[in-house]
Amino acid sequence: MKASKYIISGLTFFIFIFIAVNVHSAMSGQCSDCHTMHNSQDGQSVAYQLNAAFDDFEANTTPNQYLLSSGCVGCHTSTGTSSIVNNVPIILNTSSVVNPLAGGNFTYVRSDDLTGHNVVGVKAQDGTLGLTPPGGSIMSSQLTCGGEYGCHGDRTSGNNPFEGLKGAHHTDDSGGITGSSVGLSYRFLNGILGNEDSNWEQDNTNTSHNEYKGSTSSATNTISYLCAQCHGNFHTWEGGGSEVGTSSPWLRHPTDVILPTDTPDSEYESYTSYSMVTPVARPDSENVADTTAVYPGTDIVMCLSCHRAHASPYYKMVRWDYKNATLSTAISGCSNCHTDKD
Amino acid sequence: MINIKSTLSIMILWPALIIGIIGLLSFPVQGQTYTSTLHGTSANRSAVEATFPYTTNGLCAHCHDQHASIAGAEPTLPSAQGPSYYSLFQDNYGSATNDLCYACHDTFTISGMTLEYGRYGIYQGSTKYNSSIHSTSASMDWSPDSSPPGPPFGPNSTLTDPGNCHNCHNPHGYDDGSGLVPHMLFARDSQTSDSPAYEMGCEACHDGSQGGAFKDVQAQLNKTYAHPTHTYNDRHTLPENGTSFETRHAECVDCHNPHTVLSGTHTAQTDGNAVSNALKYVWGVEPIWPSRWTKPVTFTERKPSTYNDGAQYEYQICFKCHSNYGLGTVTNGKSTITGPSGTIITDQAWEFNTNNRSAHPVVAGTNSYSGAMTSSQMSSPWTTSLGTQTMYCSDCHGANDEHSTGAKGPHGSSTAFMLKDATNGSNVYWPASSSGTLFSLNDVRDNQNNWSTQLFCVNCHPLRVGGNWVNDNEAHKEHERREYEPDGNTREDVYCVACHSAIPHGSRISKLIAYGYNGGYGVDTAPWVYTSGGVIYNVIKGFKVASGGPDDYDEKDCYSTANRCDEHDRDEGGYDN
Repeated sequence: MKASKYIISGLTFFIFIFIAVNVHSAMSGQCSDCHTMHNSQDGQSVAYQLNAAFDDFEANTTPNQYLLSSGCVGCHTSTGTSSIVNNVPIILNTSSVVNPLAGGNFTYVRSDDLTGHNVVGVKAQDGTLGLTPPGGSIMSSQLTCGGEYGCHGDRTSGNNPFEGLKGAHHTDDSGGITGSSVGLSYRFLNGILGNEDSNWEQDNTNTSHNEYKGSTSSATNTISYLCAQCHGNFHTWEGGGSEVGTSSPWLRHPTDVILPTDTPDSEYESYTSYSMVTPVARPDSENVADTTAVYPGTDIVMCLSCHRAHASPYYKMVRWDYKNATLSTAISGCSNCHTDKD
Repeated sequence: MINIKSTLSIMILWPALIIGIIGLLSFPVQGQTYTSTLHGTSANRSAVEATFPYTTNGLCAHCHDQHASIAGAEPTLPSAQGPSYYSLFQDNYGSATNDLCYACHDTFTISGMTLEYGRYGIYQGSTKYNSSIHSTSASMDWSPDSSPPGPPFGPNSTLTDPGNCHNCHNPHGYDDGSGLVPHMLFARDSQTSDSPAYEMGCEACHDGSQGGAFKDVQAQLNKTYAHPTHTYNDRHTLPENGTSFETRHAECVDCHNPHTVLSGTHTAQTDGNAVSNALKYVWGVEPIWPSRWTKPVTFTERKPSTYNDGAQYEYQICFKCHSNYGLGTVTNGKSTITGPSGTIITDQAWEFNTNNRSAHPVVAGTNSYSGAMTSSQMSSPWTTSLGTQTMYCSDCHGANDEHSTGAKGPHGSSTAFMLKDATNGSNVYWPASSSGTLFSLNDVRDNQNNWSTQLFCVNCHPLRVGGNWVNDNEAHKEHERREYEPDGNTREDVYCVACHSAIPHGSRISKLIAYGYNGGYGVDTAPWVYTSGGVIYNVIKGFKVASGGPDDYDEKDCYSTANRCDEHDRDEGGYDN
């Protein structure tokens, strides 16, 4: 009897382990990689955070919600230069970064407000902009990774990044990105669609990259729509006719509009090979015939066609050095689409 | 032994290479225009806005604010506004037509550039442009022309903006398939054989296709006797002066300034010879007058940079090409160039020299020469202010159909010398009628050779009225039904050119007389002296103005030894020389 109890217990344990490691969740690994039951191990705090100098981690005696060892920044930061550590995408390398990921890297905004989003835990409030995002209204609180003032997670969950992202990392997304929950949204951007590159574009090649959802209507599942929640005046459908216009001549550079094909000089039609410098969104990001190609007349201009989401080495988070002293470099991204302006 | 590899390479590779090269030459690659333009190499707002974050010459940001926001706010120069069409940093259309363009091309003080930043006077600032017909006319809109390269605002745009710079200029430069069109225009200088032949864009509208006020200048320039606007291209360069004029050219912008042109042409006699609205603010040259019947070699260039308004008189524009200034080699008043009428192009500054004895009053009233005519010798509107009145070159030279539907001005004509019609195609011939017969006093006396409807001179000079010679002119009256023999063969008519210059611009002799033979008072040559088939038709050797007026001439006032001119065969002395 005792033996059978051990056998059952053992089977149960192994079944649990089997299920635990085979579930199609957004992440895998030991629970203790992210969680701590008591924030205590051998009398020492397990929770950690970046130190004040931002050059190393330090113990945090204050336990985190959901038994987490650290917050978003803590988990996704590295003091090394690699942009993926133990299969965790690194959004902040405290010194410098090699092969930054698709969103860029917050290391740049650490030294220059003008190059990225000033996110709580990474950088203090923007000295110039304060709490007012360009093209939007003043916020009550500084930008966070998730929550009401963040990009990731449920923005209706209050000003609490943990709450907004609760459970997302454990969601089985093997059925695809549907946007029906935070965990089933592109990069946990609630309701946003897209196709996630397995290495977050670390290899930076157009044969393997993210696919972004775009739409030429007031859809709420596009990557540009998300940006427009703060920068609404810069988005075609959020800004509307008085801010962006609805057709040429545009008032501001449009987003979520089709790369046109009927210009007399074929200006945009010549952009046919997908560039990692100026990616385009797709009307159906899950089904792209040839991901190395751009399809003018179908593909869509988006915010991320020009900007990195987190931070870039360049002024205003642009994906290329728009301020470079050499014009051909400065407009190298512009001319990918505006081919007769090169 | 046949080398298979070599043979194959010859058979396949070389033809492929040749075809490839031909292919490249045949299909010019469009694009890469912007960075070849002055905007793409020089535009820089940071030169005038110290806090502007971008400093790279030619960067898009110097005109475009992609989000109408830099650091969360609109840039401040010249004034902060909301978002503007084409993401420009300032409104530029509709009620704000060209305001952005003017920011650099008028308002900003750019180092090394004049305040009204333009090049060589072709653009003289917004004040003049805003007053020009190209700015004020509601028809100044290329969009209605569906033919390429228009419309300039793109097929997806509903925007139209008459008077906007973009109707003619593409601020990014335009590649028409043959490369970048110069001057950031939508259409390049062209020849008739080119397609399209927009002539720098002017003839996209001025080709009769737009109706209304747009006269068909293109049709005039296509006529047989025309300024060579359609004959060649790409000769017009900037800046221009007497040196670079060696390859003469007559592009639209040589006579018209599209940025300053005003509506309307001149009114004969009333406006004197002041440059007309259509030619306003174009540069010209004013000769320093030398002694009689010699070559003016010194000219004052009346350019807008020096003289704010450019040419003051129409002839100063004409003299750019029709004088020693632009003719190249000029010997004895004649160039080496034969015009479309078959006559050597003369130095008109030489001809209109105020030190000559006679000339049509183009550069000065006839009081500056050997005296004025009487009002009875003139037709309206030339019957007043005799002696001080002046006239335009374009009072004589223009189209053969100006008084019907044709575009006005000396663009081109169906008849030689571009002589302007009097009424609906009439009186456009000189010195011979449409049949080629030289006009004569007998024609006037006996109403033959269609003189009254073809002779150009009578547009202003009523030779015979009511069966009588005007003013009882003895010189005319006494030679009616007379004969003369310029070459031993009796002519039963005394032709006009028996006495008068065949090119009646001006003469060293009074009354536009030319000496065909040397009687000690100098001799004139063709083309002033009419010659044909080796025969010199002008038989005068000496002439002086009758002291008592036109009805006071007698035999002694003229000297000739030609047969049948026996009454004048004595040298009485005192003749003009």
